[in-house]
Amino acid sequence: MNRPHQASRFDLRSILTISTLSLFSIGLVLGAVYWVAVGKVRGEIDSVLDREISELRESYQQGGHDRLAEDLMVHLGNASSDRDYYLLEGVAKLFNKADKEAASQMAREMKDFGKLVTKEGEAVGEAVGLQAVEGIEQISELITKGNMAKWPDGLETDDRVHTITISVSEHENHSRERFLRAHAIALPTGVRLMVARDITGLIYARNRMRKALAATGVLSLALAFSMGFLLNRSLLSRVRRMNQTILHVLAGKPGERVPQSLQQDDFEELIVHFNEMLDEKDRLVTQIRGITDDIAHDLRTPLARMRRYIESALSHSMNEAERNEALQKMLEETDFILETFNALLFIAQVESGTLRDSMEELVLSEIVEGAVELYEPVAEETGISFVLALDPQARIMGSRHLLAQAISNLLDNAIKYSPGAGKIEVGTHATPSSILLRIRDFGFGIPEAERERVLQRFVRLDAARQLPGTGLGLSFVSAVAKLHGAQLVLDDAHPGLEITIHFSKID
Amino acid sequence: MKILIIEDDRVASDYLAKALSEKGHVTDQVADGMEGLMHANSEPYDVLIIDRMLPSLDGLSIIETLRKAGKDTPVMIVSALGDVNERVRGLRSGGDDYLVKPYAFAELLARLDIMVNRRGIPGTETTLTVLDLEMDLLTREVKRADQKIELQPREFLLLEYLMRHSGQVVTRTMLLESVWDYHFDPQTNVIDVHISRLRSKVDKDFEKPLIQTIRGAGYSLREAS
Repeated sequence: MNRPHQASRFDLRSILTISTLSLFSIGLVLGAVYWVAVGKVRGEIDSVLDREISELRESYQQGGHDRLAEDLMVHLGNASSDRDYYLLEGVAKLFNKADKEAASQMAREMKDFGKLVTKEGEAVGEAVGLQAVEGIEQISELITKGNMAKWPDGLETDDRVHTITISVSEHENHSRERFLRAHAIALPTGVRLMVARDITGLIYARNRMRKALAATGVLSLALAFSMGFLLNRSLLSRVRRMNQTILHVLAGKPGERVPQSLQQDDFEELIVHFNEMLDEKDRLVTQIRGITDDIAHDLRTPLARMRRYIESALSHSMNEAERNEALQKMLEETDFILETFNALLFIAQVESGTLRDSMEELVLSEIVEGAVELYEPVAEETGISFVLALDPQARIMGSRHLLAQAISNLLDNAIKYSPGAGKIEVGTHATPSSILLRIRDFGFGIPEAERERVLQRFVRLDAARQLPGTGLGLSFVSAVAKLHGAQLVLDDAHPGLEITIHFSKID
Repeated sequence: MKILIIEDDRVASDYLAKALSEKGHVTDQVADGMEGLMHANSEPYDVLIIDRMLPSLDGLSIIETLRKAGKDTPVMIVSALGDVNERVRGLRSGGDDYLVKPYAFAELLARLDIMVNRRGIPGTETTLTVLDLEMDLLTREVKRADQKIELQPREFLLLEYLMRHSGQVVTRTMLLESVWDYHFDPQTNVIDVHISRLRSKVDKDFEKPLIQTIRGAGYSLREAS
């Protein structure tokens, strides 16, 4: 036989599977938190930046630099100084190209515009040669307000949002790093426009969250792994117990059972069921062994008789008539053996449950009536009459064919084992919970100790040995009752035997 | 009758052929399913005896194929598969009767007779008459030599079956099947008791008994030979 090799102390693969699975689900949760807390907020900021840039671009397209400056002022007015940044850069270049007068004219016209150009105001002044262009004051005011002094390093005017870093001085010699989301474009004149939001808070929050997530991840990895390990170990130890039992049973100790623990879970239930299965297997093996023995024993008798007839038929001392007689007896014995085999096969078939398909709703009393009618003349011959009490409401689910045969067997027995008793009572009765079939004779009855045993195959009581029969009649009835989910009860009726079959009611 | 035996058990087939020819029938034997189908399809037989489990084509398929082709030759199925479900399957496939192996030859013979004759009898007649025994199927009256005979309902059915098959042998199993619709062998020979009851009403007061016991087979309704 192929023995399974002894399982290792723990099964790494299943531990990994368990931990990977739990880790995966933890990761999924953390990822969702991260996305909501960081990604979503950043996305909202970006879309605000997009909207502002496109509004300002539109302003420029409708009214040139003037209009752009005007609208930008509105934005600046609403801006919070440490959160919102706006910057127009490169206006000076415009002035470099123009002649001085035109430039000064433009500068005057663009006094508001000048407010935005920060340090470039000075450049404009230089370019135009006017130190006191109107608006310079405001320009310096703007600078001190600290809304971005110069174009951030490396910021491209590619019409996309980037995260950039700038330094903001707080005290002397001390500056602080700020993170911005910035959106910049270049106008056709070469002037650059930037809109930005401070996201330093968000970045810090994000970094903190990343650290927390990493820590949680590591922790849950350890937790998942140890959980997997523990689960695996407790389950595996029980599987090992089960395996050991199976090996013992296979090795010829059929009585061995898996020890049960006090745990109440599916696995414990499995162990209970497994043990029950072993019990049932033992019971069946015993039963089959018993049946085999019975068959061997009970068929030996008719076979021995047949052998005797054959022997005598072969001997030369027999005349024609005697030989025919012997042949006739052989035929009878053969028929008896065949009948026994048929009955055995039929019982086995009923027990296998394959005949359950032929179940239908039927009136029990009608079947009883049919069988009684078949046996009435036989009963009469032995001086017995049937006393009937049939309930026409006794409806059950059943197989007409099998029930008719079972009831016939019972009537046959009742007649056979109560000679001269005068009557046999047959009744059907519907109680609130079940449908009863009752057959009561006034014969010898069956001693209490034998009532279980007579349902087994080939069991015939001493009183019955002299009468014809295979010893399979009640076994068949018992099998049919079982197939119908009915309960077969044998009882002493003082005198006689009372057999009751309790069928379940149709819902 | 010309009978085709499709049976792969050589011994059983030979025995059957011999016994049937002793009774005056002509038999052909085939052991293979396909071959059996060809024979049955191409030659005129009065009866087909078909085993269920055969090489190359099983018995029920042979019958189904024949029936689809419009052949209505009576078919007797013989099989070791004996439970009710199998019997029903056999009859549904188009078989006319079903015998479970092992069977008594007398049983087979009686059933073949009934099977072949059944086809000729239309079920529309209102009276049955055998010699001086008369049965009116409408009024349910039975008379013998103009004397009224009172019968129980089941006795009436029993006599009706015997009269419909008068002159033929009917077995106890056939009676149990047709009159009671029971498909099992009762342990006690209940049929004999029913017949003797019937006899006491139909034959007792008359000179010539009509219900004959055929030893080893069953009964037959006819004049004593």
